[in-house]
Amino acid sequence: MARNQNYITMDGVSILADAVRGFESEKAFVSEYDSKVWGDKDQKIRKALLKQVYKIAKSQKDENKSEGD
Amino acid sequence: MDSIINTPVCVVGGANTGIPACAMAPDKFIGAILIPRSKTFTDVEAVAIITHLQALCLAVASQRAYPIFRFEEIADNSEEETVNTLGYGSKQVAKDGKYDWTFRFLKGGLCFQKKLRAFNKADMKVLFVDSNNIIFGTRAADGNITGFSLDFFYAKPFKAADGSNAAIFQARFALSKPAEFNENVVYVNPGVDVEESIKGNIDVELVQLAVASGKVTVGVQTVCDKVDLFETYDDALASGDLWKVTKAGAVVAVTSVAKSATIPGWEVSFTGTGEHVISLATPAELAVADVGGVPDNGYESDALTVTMS
Repeated sequence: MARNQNYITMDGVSILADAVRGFESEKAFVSEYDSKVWGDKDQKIRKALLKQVYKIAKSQKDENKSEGD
Repeated sequence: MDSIINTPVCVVGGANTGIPACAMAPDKFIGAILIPRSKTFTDVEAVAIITHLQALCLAVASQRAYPIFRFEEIADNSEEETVNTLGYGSKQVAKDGKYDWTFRFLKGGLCFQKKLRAFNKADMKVLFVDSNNIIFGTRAADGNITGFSLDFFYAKPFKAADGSNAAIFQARFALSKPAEFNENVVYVNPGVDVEESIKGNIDVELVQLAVASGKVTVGVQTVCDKVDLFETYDDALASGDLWKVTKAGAVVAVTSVAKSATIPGWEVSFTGTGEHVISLATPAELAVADVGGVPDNGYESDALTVTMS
């Protein structure tokens, strides 16, 4: 799994972190991207991966916030 | 200093003629590297010349080096020196003859020849590589190392096979300054196989496989031989950093890139309607992501225009 400043990349998918953070909630993000990526995976796995992406994007924001403090 | 009367002043020419124990003579030239006209290497840089040339191969086009290898045959059409015969029968050398070499290739075919012909009007310099993997250049005016000056480079139109001979592909190097390869020659032994170490970029084309609202599925294949890169780079190219999308010249954010689960390609998502242009990152950026680059060829993509609804 690679973590980039702009993109969160894992398992053949790369998602713009800013786009992830643009969603109001994890649920909204997962709902939107569930049909867009990892179509070859079981929905349970897909949702788990998307939740992981969301958490990473949020944690990046928090890291940036604390660095700016 | 006192004046000298009735004493002719002769120029003392020549040089010492002891034969060195180890003589240097170029062997068969097996390749050439076209470099930008202004490019020079310091002697310190020349110690790691392979590294510098590898980086130049991935540089932006205006600063790029273009290796050309697999010379299989030379036709030497170099001039003889020009000798003037004077009125009383004496002769004198008026000027050196210029080097004019034509090399034949067997590999590459029409597609490679087409690429070479794109240099026919380019103003570049050239380094030569011999079969002992010695790189030959010359001293620039500033004392650094550079390529040989060219009157012209000319990749010829191919000659058709005739039943006895295969099709003939040739490129001609007409050098403009014989002194550069004689009095001012510089040769560097990098200690590696130069052809294997310095490779030109391969052009790849993007192919639109499918399009849906906000998402285009793109395939990537080599231009000349249509090799699909998906099997080799399916995961590596599933990276948002390696794709660029523009609309009317303005950058559009790529929101996600995913290797497709259904067709061999990558799903590139972004927001917008109308005409967009998709391309891959630069050869250097791709190489950092292990998509081509040393020790293999780099890749450079064309641009794919898609219309989003």
